[in-house]
Amino acid sequence: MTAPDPVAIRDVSIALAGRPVVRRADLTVGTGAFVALLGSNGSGKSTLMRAAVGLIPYQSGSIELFGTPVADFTERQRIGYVPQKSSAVAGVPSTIREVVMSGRLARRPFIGLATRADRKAVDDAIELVGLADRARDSAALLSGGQQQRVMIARGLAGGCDLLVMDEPLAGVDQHSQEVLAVLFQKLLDSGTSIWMIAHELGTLRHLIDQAVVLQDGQVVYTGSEAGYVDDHHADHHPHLGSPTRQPGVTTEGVWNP
Amino acid sequence: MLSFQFMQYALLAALMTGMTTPAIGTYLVQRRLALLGDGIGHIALTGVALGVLTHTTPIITAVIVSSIGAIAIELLRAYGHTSGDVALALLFYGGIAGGVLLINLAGGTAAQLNGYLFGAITTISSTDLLLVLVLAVVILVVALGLAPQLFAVCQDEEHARVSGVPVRLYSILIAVLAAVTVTVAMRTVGLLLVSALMVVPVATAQQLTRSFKTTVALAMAIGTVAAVAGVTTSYFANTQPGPTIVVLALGVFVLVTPIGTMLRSRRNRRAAAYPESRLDV
Repeated sequence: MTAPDPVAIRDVSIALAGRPVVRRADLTVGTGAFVALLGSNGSGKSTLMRAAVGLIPYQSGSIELFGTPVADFTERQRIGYVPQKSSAVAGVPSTIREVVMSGRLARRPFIGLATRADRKAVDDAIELVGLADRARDSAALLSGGQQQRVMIARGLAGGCDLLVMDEPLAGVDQHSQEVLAVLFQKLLDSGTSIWMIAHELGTLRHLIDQAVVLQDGQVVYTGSEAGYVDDHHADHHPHLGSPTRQPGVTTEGVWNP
Repeated sequence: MLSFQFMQYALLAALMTGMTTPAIGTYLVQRRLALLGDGIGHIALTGVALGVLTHTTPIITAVIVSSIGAIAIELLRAYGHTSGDVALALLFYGGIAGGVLLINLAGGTAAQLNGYLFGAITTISSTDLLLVLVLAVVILVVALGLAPQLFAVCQDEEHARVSGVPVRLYSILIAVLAAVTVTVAMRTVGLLLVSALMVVPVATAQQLTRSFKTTVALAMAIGTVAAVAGVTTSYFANTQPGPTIVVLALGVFVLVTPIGTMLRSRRNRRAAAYPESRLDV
């Protein structure tokens, strides 16, 4: 018997404030796979991901994490989550180490100090994202790309089997993207599954096992990343082909090559 | 000075206030809810008046009413589609109006509430002091003991929820802790000034620190020094203790600010010296 898929989304519809946002979507993240969820702004990508990790309810269909319905899923340490536009900076200064330590919560008992294993896991995660020499610095001093790496380290600190990231590449500089590409390759080699929302795949393109494209809340493509760009679906790709013009919108101010 | 019992009581109460207010205040500042303490202070006034009306110790009624108010603020924020600041405003005014109305019903005037609005630390009774001590210990145990969870909830709610942390429960816990803290500080600095001791020491400390842990510790130290020194100063200068404490705390803030600016620019220069940082724009 094979292990259940880390993420199994079947025929899921989600409405937000009465408005349908995701319609009958299917998506699977297999063990050790790297799945990219693509689509333009407002296509329902984040909504689908947030429902899958249990942050918002869904109306119909089924979502299972490691074979357990998401509502009953308790093995929280198996998921490393990196929210959209999350920032390592809050109202009070915190070191990178302190922020990453909160990624250990699902593994720590209700009360008590951090153990040696906790501290080692945190140091390892910070090392993996290439910020070991900054671990004791205030997170506020980091660039956007470095902060995103801190958020990913927090996701990894719990020793997850599935890393779920909502636009981890948004605003991330070239150097950080290269660090992440090496990191993700390492994770995939060790059997960790990755599910990520992205606009641009950039340096990660060659790592993607499967691309899933959402358009107006519906899955319009599931398959290899290359196949999606090359075949007739190219006109759906948010960054290829010409933009579709909405009725009533003039071409004034639109650059036409 | 220490031979007077009222001064012994006052200094002990000031010590408790100085330690507890920044401990919980740090979480409020981290959540960007710095004014929550002020809102709860207003609600506590209704509690005080209720105590006067029903001939109960006002600290007890204030703890109960302000805790209910704090929970109401959290629930309004979570379910009522009301933004945090509007939820606060609703309770600000309800609290003040309720307090004055209830005092009127008890046959008193608003002037009777002065001791609670601005503090009356030298008139604190042994029962009050005992209550303050017990509540302060509870606050410190919870605020420091559950620090990992409270930190995670205040830092990033979504991540905490996916990690399996019952975020709503902890949000309510933080609000109730703030309510209890307000009541502890009520006799020392008064309900109108309590928020200052929750926020000013934290704002001062974070100019010098880079970690959450040291921010909490330093804020508690600054709060304690300001509270104890404030009571002592007020004894010799013959001023009201509450405002004296707050002015001292603000004075420390003003003194520390230029040092903080210097430290930060030095740290920025050092951070910029890392080769990879230069690649980041």
